[in-house]
Amino acid sequence: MIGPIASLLIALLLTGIVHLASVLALPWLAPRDAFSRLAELAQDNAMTLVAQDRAAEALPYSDPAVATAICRYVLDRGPVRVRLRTGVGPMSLLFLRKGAGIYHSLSDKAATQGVLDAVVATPQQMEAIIERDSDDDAVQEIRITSSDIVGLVVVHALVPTHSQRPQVERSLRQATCEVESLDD
Amino acid sequence: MTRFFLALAAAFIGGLLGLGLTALSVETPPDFGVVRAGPWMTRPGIGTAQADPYSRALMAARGILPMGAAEGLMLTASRDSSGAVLAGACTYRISGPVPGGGFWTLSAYDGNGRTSHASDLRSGLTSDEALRFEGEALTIMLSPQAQPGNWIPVNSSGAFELILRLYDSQTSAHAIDASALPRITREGCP
Repeated sequence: MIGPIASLLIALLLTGIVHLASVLALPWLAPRDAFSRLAELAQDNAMTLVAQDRAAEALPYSDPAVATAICRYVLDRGPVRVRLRTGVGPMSLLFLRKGAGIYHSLSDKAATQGVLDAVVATPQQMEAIIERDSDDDAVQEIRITSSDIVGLVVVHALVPTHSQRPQVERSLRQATCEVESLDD
Repeated sequence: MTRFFLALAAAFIGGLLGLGLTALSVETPPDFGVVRAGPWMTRPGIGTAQADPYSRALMAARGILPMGAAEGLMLTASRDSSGAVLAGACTYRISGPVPGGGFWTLSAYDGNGRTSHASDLRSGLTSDEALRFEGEALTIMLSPQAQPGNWIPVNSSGAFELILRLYDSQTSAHAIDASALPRITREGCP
């Protein structure tokens, strides 16, 4: 017999299950999350500088004193290398995957000789990269493993004073995001 | 047969309540894991793969990109130091130390996360732009009317929020305390 108490228990149990499942699923299902908004402004395997007003329009609560460049990486043809010169203010690289959000971040403190050099690869590609390492040369690049083929790299460069924005944006335009061949 | 419908109705109501609870947790996020210091609050770990599910759902639903863990620390305030909601019509004085010792930015936003300003004016202040006077604590004024010294203009209608971002900061979200952060004092309202 399903009485009022059993019905109440069913309702409570389902409330809990549905609530937990929907909270966990939201980052994957949300159509207008930061990942989707940024992906619309990005090109595949190429770095794009985002104009300040477009960045402010696309992302709520973004820092007006930050210059942004984005690259959507697609790892089906090989790992992707991101390179940029450090500049006048702090810079950082954010690595995003749909659902996972920011899964890795780097600041310019990780740069060697003023260059921030990072390689994004799938776990299989990473194995191949590590295999080719020689014992003589120290590894200069920072290696990031992405469990998804597609993701985003966001470059944030703080503009210390408003008048320095052109200078910071010029240096971000020099940033690259390119597929690397593993065959040679 | 009635038993079956009763169970079905219970399941339906349970499902609806579950979704409602999720909508509510995004609209008015629960304080799980939130660190507060005076008027400022932060969600540790939000810019990492270890972010808690509620913070993650909140960011996804609102389309917010948090600061990366290596990027720095983000502190939000929606109330002044006395606990009153920040109103755009009022004038506020933000004064005191900024932790971290590195670059910081302070920006004001409306309820939709748009920078709260008249379009041709600045919508925030950076540590390099801030004027400092010998022997005085750093002071920043927030007001819809022009102020001498450091002034961040805000839209006079509605409430606003402040975000203090500490770049390159090694300050841990768990180590911050109110005495190391600026106070937000209401100076007056029209």
